[in-house]
Amino acid sequence: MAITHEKMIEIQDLWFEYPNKRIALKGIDLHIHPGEKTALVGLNGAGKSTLLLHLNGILNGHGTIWIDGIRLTANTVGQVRALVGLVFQSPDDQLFSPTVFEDVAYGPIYQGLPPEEIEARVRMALNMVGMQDYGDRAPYHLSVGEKKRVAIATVLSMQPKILALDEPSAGLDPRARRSLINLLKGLPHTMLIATHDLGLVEEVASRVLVMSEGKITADGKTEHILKDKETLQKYLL
Amino acid sequence: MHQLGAQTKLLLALGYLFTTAAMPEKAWKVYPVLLILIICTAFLARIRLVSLIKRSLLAFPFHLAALPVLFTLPGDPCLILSWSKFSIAVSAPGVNRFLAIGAKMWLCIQAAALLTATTPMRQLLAAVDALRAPKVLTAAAALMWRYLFVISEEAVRLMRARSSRSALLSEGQGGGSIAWRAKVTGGMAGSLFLRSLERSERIYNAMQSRGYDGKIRTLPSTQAEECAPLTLVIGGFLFACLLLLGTLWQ
Amino acid sequence: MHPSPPPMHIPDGFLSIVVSSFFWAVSVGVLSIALRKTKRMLREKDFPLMGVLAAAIFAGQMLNFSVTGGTSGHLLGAALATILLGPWAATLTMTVVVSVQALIFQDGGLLALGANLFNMAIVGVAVSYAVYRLLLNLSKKQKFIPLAGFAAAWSSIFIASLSCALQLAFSGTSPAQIAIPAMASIHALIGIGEGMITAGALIFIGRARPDLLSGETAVSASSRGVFTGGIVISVALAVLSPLASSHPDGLEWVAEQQGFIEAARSPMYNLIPDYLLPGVESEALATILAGLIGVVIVLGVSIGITHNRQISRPNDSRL
Repeated sequence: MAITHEKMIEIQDLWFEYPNKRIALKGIDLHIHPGEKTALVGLNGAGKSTLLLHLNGILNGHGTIWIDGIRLTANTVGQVRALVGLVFQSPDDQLFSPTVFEDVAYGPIYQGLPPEEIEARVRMALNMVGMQDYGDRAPYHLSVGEKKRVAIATVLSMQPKILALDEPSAGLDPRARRSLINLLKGLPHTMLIATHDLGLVEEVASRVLVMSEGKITADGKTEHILKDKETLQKYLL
Repeated sequence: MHQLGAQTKLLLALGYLFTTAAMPEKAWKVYPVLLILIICTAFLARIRLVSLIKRSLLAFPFHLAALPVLFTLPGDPCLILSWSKFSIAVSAPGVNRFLAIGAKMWLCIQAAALLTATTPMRQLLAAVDALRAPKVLTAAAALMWRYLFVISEEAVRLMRARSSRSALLSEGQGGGSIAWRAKVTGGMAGSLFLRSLERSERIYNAMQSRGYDGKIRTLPSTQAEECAPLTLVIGGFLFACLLLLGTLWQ
Repeated sequence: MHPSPPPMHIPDGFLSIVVSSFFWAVSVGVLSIALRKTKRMLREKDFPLMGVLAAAIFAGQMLNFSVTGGTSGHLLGAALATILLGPWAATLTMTVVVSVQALIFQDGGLLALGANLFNMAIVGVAVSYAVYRLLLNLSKKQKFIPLAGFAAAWSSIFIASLSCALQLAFSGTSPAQIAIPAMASIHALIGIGEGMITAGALIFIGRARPDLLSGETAVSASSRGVFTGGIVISVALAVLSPLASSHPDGLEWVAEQQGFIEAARSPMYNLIPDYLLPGVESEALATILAGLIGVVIVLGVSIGITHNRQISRPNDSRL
């Protein structure tokens, strides 16, 4: 994978406070290169999901965020949302349409694409996650693993450059987890994956960020961080 | 029957309902024709009559609301019920109206059930959409349909958790006052609502991150909207004839 | 998975064509106002909120608790929706619920849908809103909210049932002097279940997310029109019903004024039945009066309690 020196994600001094006064992010600085697959680990409440929700402007904290050279502002939020595919933790929340096809088509419809292009995008996305025969099915009738795949397809159809995944392997049985890991390994996108699944981190990610109480407390190559007993003990276990 | 466009089916069903509801109550010779229409349609659609009939039982308690017309409609008494000093007369027009209401209700439910059995919810919503129903309502209905089962399962889990903790020490009523039980149930309803509220926030986030901007957009649908004008004209003519027949032939 | 139908969903065949068309027209009119209002006031996130809460109301109608023997109390949800969403969005949400119940589950008819929407999505919501606002104006205390919720829920069920009974009476399917007291007394009881569940739900929500019930949300942001509308509907139905049930000829008089009597004479419609059994009148009146007294008592008790609280508050703060 060719890693250039331009930055796909750049965050400077990002702070965020929830309406209930809890400060969830305390000065995040972060650079992620194109094609880099980065894992975001840390205990519940460390701020991982909050950080992901900032990548496409769902939450707006203080600080600056650049996505693929575009500065995230109220004016560019539409553009940025086309670049960042956010996959939520619960596929039931992400798949809100009556059929798989309509759900995968949702993003392209809002991008204003012509019908033929929408159709082609949906086929492409479902193919990428191996769910090409499920277009007419209702999301309710899918297994958790299938829902996860479709949830990923719903953002792939927007042809984003970045995938931001929240707990992608939570609630999966071992076989579904295995096939999800293989899927993530095979996708070429820049990824930021918030997860507790260290096995997945080891296989998919080349870089690990450890978060604790709203700060990034460790950042390094996967093999280094996962062997660093002291860091893991302090922030994760 | 399954191939007919959803919009056509919806309009035909509405026509049938209108015809049945507007049918004069003494037109007993026309009711069998209406019934035959139902049976033929069910046969064509390969729907088992038993399942249709089961569905119609749901509404029958409501028929009780029409019971008083037996006694209050003026006319020749056809039956006099006496109990010690009191006696009450059942009038012939009363019986007729009571039976007519029952028959109409039953036929209407059959027709509506047939429509549902042959048309998936999605197409039905598309048909309602095509009849110019407001988009906000049909889109909210689609969303409701999507989450109805998810949330119903939550409700079932809540009730299971409650019953697994409401053991009885001996035969008879469980403990707690009715008010307490109502409060517990209210708490369950409250938690169901809260969870749904929070879920709707997450769904909103998911929609937003895929471009939702407050306007509801859907794919220009290709199927289900095609109207079959000929079928509709024939159907309308048939219903008009039935109404005329019912008015004249009592 | 479906709850036993609450007795308020009128099936097709019960309403005359005139009555069904009239209420379709009224409901469509009110809904179009609601749509216009919500378009202006709703935030983008309220559309998913309406869809998901519609599902929650539907599912919430499955929840029940045993009262005695085979009877059980369960929820219709109009009051809860009104308190959480504000009246306009609640009207739309209840519209979605009631329409899907008719369209998919044959719970309530399609021709009768206009009337059912009027009772449950319009009267139910407007009355809930008026009663809730009225009581909250007396006291803004957190503890008072469930009580106000109880009163709102009970009144919404009770008044909506009067509207339902009047529609049946106008259609000639159930004579006014029997339908009104019967519906009213049954729903005075059902309303207690609705009220208790609503209050329980509000207690729960008040503990977990008090922000949702703080006066600044949807409920208070709504217009005065709904408030007035709710009061007018309540009073009109509460006055019209005993009138109709004690003077069934009154219905005929109304119909005559409207020129409906011609329609009633034609064989197509049989609007107004003539009544026998004059002896029932006084009994019917008594039942209705009992219902009205119930309303007064609920209001009186709630007002009394807040009044006491407000008086005793200075002492509390000193302690």
